[in-house]
Amino acid sequence: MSDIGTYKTLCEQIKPYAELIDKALVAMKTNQKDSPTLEEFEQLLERILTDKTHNASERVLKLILKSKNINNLNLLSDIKAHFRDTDNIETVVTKTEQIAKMLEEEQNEAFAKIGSWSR
Amino acid sequence: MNLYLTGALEILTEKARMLNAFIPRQLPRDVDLLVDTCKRLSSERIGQIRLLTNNPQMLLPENEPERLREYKRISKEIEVIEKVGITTLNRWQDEDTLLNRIAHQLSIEIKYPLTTPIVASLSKDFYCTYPGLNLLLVPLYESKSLLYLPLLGHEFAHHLLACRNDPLVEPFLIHFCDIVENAMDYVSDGLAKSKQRHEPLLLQLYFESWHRSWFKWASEIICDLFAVFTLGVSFVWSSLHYCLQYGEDPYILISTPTSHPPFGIRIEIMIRGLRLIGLNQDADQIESFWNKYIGVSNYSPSAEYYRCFPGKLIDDIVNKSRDAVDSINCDLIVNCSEDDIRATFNESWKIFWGNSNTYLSWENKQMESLKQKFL
Repeated sequence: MSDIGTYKTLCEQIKPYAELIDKALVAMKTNQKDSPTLEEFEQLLERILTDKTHNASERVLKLILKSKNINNLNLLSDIKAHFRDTDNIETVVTKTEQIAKMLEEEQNEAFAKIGSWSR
Repeated sequence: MNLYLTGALEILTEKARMLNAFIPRQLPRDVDLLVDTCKRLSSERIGQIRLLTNNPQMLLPENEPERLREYKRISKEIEVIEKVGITTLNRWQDEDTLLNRIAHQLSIEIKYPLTTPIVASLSKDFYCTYPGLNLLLVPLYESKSLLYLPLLGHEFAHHLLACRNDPLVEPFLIHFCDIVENAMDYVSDGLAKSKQRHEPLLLQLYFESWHRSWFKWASEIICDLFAVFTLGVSFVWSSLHYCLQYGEDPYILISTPTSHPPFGIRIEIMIRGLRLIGLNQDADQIESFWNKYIGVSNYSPSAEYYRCFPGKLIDDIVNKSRDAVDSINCDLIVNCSEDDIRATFNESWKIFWGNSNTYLSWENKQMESLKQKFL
């Protein structure tokens, strides 16, 4: 009945994607074009944006991002559109960072509900 | 920054390692799972710290933001292991064993598809749950009383929503996503129409806040309905009891996002849930009591409230939640046998309403008989 269940649920669902996105950012910034992490992130974007996902957790991620801001799906589309475009790597990094920060905010909110960390 | 992180990560590794020393060694078997979970999570965090420490790419200046973010994430996770998981083990009481046996019995009766969460009476925030630790905290008095225990059903459902990669549970999550999507589409559509009609800006702010809230609201509502369908009217009485003791205006809607929907809509949805599984008499009793409470308290819903929760959307949520519970083959309350613990929960509310003067002595006897049965 307290907030904690809802926020911890969110946290559990977000965590693997938040970690994946951070690893993808590292791979982007260090120019590891063949990194399996980048491949994984690109496939995730593809599934989420084309509604091809059969994975419930991926749908949850999409809904969390959509609920924070309806334009987040456009942000994901932009990342996907320029993903392998070397001329636009900085744009891709900036927009991926925005998603990473958003997920971090959501996690921070969840941890704050536990009562020990103020935002 | 990297110099700080190198030192801080070393300290964090030692903390994660040392936490295990706070786990008492003579605990009952009931908490083996929590012991293992805390140890596994600590080890996983240590592994993540090693990656942050040893991966040369992580040490590059351009990757400091990611390193810092991961450091913060790990730090907070270790704090949860410490403040919730290990503290629970460190303060374990015999009374908690009874709560765990009751929770386990409930989980068998409703055919709960996950491992029963460990229950401990260590909460300072009423009923709250930690899916990552498979732990559910309740207030201290709960091992002495029956009236709030049906709320365990709601908390169990939060664990279903947090579950990943389990094909037997995934259908529940898929139905949940359908509910959220439907509600968010309704709000987006409402917002677009509101803009077209040049309605007041405040109303548009409401729509935006509802859009941001529905994911969390739907989590609470599907958890309520899971408990209504599997535990029946006792859960609704417990929820009402909570609302009357601690609740505020049950129709309040504010123009900023919230985690819980107004209690008014939750109770309306619970009543519709009872009717959906044929418990019309129970639904009538709840509705009648609720109307009396609203009358006495002089609460009334606003126009925005009706706009936020139209009947068609609410019916759709109730129906989809029923499908969600069916999709994971949980046992509905209508199949309950008289020996079930959920029958005892329902009985407790019948006795409370039948003769509240004798309720406490009846409850004491019931708790004693549960101790004899489970301990």
